[in-house]
Amino acid sequence: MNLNLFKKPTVIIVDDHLIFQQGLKSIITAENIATVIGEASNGKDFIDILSNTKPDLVLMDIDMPQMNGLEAAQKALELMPGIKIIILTMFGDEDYYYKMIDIGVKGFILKSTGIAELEKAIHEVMRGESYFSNELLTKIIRNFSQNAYQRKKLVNDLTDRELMVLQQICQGLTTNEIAEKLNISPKTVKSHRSNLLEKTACKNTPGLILFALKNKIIEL
Amino acid sequence: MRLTTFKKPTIILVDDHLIFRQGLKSLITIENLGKVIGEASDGKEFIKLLSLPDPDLVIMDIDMPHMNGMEATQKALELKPDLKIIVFSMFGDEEYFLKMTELGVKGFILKSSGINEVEKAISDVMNGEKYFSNTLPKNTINKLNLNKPQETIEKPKTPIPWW
Repeated sequence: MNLNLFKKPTVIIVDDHLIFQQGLKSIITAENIATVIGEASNGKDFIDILSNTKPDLVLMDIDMPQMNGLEAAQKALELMPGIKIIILTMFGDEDYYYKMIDIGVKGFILKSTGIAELEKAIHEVMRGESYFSNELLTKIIRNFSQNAYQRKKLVNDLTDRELMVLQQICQGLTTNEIAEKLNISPKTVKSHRSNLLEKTACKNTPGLILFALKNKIIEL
Repeated sequence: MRLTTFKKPTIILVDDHLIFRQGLKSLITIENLGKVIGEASDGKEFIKLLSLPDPDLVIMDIDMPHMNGMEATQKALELKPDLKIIVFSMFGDEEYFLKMTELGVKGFILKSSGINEVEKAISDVMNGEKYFSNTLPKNTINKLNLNKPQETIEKPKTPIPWW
């Protein structure tokens, strides 16, 4: 895993605005952040490229003709389950966020942020972490506040232990670290974690973190 | 090999997506198409920049918060009628095109175009011409090129009853 810190990732850029593709490639190359090995202007072209190229990372727009970013991400993750996808998005795309996280994209950043934040996101994701810009998380939480009643019921279904484990997961602790901290066995932590996933209908850790955020179990 | 020659302009980029501006600036610099002397992330910021020495050219987005590209264009051209503005926009912004041409913008290109077309647009506009991308929808180009009010286009007349 540490090797990734030193190895420049290979990247495919997917965006229907050619000038954006070219500009992003230019700056990523100039700043020596990654090696761009492919470009596509819609989801379909991207999936075609994947049949003979295996990038470390994909930088993907959402709103594109023919096949949008959501569908493309889903297809790509079916074809290559480990593929790391960062979504480059605009205000107004909020409807897609939760679904995207659910299917397993690793990060979201807004196009209104700059190359410095993109670089940070790429580093985090290449280290095996997720990256979501704070601005977006705030939006997501606001989005979900509409379903307050249902969520409250869900939270009430969680046991105190599960809530404690959830809080620790959100701190970024590993299973073993949580076990040590709460003075329980790693096996118990794992079983709490799978109960949490099941009860909240989340598929992965970023999903759990979002759940915790929007239910104010943790705060930004 | 470059077929066209033009004076390399000083440029202000106006777009709310920082990463877009950074990319475009990088391309403009590397391809030696001009010198980016200022950036703004909305129309308001841009108008403030106009108190500084004039740029030769402005590359302007339409859809932006606080003050959009259309309003910014109108204000800017009131202050500086000779300012050269190229609108760099998306599919779906066509409703603004005609109005912005009337205001006096010098060119339109779509973001689905690449740096080659940006170069062509800059070159034409710096040589005193107008540039309307042929990737714009046909009927929009026709209107822009005709540059006359829609009423002059002949409309089918209501048939007069024979009786």
